[in-house]
Amino acid sequence: MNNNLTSENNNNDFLGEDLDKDQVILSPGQMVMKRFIRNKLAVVGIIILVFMALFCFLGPLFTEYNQTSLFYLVRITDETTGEVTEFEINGKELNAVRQQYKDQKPFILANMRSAPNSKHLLGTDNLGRDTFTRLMYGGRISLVIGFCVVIVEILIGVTLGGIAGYYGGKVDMVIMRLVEIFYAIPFIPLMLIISAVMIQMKISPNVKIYYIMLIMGLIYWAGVARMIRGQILSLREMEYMQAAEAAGIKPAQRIFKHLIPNVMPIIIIIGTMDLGGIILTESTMSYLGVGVPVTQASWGNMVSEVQQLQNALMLHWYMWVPPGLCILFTVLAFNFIGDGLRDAFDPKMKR
Amino acid sequence: MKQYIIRRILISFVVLFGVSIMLYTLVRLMPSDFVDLATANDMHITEEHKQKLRELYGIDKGIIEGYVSWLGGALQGDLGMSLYFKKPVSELIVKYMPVTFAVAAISLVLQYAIAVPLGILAARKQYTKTDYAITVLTFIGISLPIFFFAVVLRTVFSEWLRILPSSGMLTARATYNGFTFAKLMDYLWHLAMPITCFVLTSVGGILRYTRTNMLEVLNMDYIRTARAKGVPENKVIHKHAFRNTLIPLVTMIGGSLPGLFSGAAITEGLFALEGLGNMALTASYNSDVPYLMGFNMFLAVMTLLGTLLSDILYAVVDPRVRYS
Repeated sequence: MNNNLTSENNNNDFLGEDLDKDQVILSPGQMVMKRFIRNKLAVVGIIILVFMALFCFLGPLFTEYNQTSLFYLVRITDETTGEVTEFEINGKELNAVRQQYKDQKPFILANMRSAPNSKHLLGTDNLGRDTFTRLMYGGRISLVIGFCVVIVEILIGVTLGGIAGYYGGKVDMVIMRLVEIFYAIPFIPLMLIISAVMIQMKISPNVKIYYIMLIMGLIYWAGVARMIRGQILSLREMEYMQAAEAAGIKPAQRIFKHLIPNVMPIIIIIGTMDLGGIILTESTMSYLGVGVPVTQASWGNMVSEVQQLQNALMLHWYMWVPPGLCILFTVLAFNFIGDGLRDAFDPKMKR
Repeated sequence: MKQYIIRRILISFVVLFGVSIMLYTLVRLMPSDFVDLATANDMHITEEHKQKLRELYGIDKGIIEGYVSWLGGALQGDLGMSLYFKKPVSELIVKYMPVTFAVAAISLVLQYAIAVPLGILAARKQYTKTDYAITVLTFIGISLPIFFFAVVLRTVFSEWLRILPSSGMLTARATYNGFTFAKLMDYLWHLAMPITCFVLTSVGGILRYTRTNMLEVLNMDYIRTARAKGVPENKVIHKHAFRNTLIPLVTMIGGSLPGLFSGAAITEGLFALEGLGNMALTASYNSDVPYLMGFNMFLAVMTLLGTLLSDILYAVVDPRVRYS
C-alpha cells in the first residue's frame, strides 16, 4: 500500500526526499510480522515454545537415562559390624550388582518416589523412573501428536470445506451434514468407546498412538471445514474470482491458486490454536488412561500417577506438578501465539 | 419461524441417524461381542445359552439387521441393556442424570456470572493493566488441564487446609430424613471443588468472547453518538452497548449445553461423583459398550438440541433475524 505512494513522491523533489527517508516499505507479510512481534504475549509464547522444543527434542541427548529405565536401591548390611550401606543403581546393572554382592545378601528394591536430588532432578515416580527424563520424552509425544493431528485435520478440513464452499448446492449440503454429524459426537466420550474397542482388539501400545492421532484428526476436521467453508463462501463472490473464471482457469487451479492462499491466515490461526487444544485433549485422555499407552511417557500419564498417591499428594509434589505445569505452559504458549497471529493478520487492528 | 423449527428438527433426525450408524458400526467392529465378554468367567455356559443371550441383546444378527432392530428399540426409548451395570441403559441415564445436570446448571450460571462482567470490564479498559491481567488469567483458564487443576485443588483444600472433602457426594456416615436443608448443604459442600474446577477451566472462552464482542460494539458509530449526546458512560455501556453484546452471548448458551454434559466425564471421574460421566468412565474400563453408546447418543441429542436452541434464541433476542 505504501509502494505507490513513495514512488510517486520520488518524482516530487521537495517532498520526496523527506518522505523517502522516513518511510520503510513493508510487504503485507512484513506488516503482519511487525504487528506480531509487538504483541508481548505472543513473543512470550514463542519463547516458551522454543524452550520446550529444545528441552524435549535436544534434552534427551544430554542424559544417559531412558524413559523406561528403572532405578533400584541396594541395601547391604555388614553381618559383623551391622553397618548398613545403601546405594542406587540403574536397572541395567541389576544383574551385575546381584552377582557382585551375592555373598552379602543385598536387599534390592525399586527406588520409588524418591525426592529430588542431584541424580534425579525431579525425583522418581511410582515405579522408580526418573521424572525429569520422562518429562522430556513426554513432551516429545505431546508435541508430535499435536503436529500430526493438526496436519491431518487441516488436510481433510481444508479439502472438504473448500469443496463445500466452492461448489455449494448439493455437495455443500452433504458435506455440511457430515460436519454436523462429527460435531454432534462429543470427543472424550467417543474416545472412551474407541479405547474400549482397541483394548478388545488387543492393539499393541506402540501402534495405538498412530491410531489416536488418526482418529483425533478424523474428528477435529469438522471444525476446520466449517471455518474454511464460511471463508470460501464469501471469497467466492469477490471480483478477482469472477476474473479468474472469465479467464477460463480450471476449477482446481482456482481453488488451490486463488482461494487457498487467501484463507491461509485462517488456516495458520486455526492450526496454532488447535495445537494447544489437541495437546490438552491428548493429555486428558492419557490421564484417563485412554490416550497414550502407559508404556510410553506422556505428560498426561505422568500426572495420572497421582491416582496411586492417595493422601500424599503434597509430599510427592515433584511427581505430578512438573508435568502439569509443562502442559499448562505449552498450551498457553500456543494460545498466546494463536491470538497474536489473529490480531496480526487482522487489517482492522490499529495498534 | 414454526416452519424453520420443524425443518431444523427434521434435519436433526437425519444427523442423529448418521451419528447412530457411525457409533453402531464402531461398536460392532469389536472382535468379541458382549456375550463372550460377559460370560467369559462363567464355566457352565453352553453355546445354546450364549445364542439365547445374543438374541436377548439383539446382536445375533448382522450389522445392518442389528442396527435396524437397535434403532427400533431406541425409538421406543429402549437403548438396550448395560453389560456392567446390568440394567437398561435408558433407566440408568434417567437415574443418574440429575447429578450431572445439577453440576452443569450451577456451573453454567456461575460461568456467565463471572465471564460477562469481567469481559465488559476488560473491553472498557482495553490495553490497560486490568485488561492484560484479565486476558492472561483467561488464557491460563483456557490452557489449564482440568485433571491437573483438580489435583491441585484437592491438594490445597482437602489435604493441606482440610476444609473440603476430596471426593464423593455426601458425607459417608450422615443420614438425612428426606431432603432437608442440611442435606442440600452437604451436597454443595461436596460439589464445591468439582464446580470450581469446571467453572474456572471453561470461563475463559465466554469471557474472551464477551470482550471481543463488546470491543466491536464499542467501536460502533451509535456508541460515539450516544457519548457525544452526553449520555452518562454507565448508561452507554449497560444500555446501549451491552444489549448488543448480549446477542452472541445468548446464542453461546445453547452451544455450551453439550460441553457441560460431555465434560462431566472428566470432572465426575476426578471427584467420584455419581453421575453419567463417571459411569461412562467405568463403562469404558469394562468395555460396556451399550452404555457408552447410549451415553453418546444422549450427548448427540443434547448437542443438536443446543444448536437448535441457540438458533431459536438468536431470533428471539435479535428482531432483525427472520428465519424462513
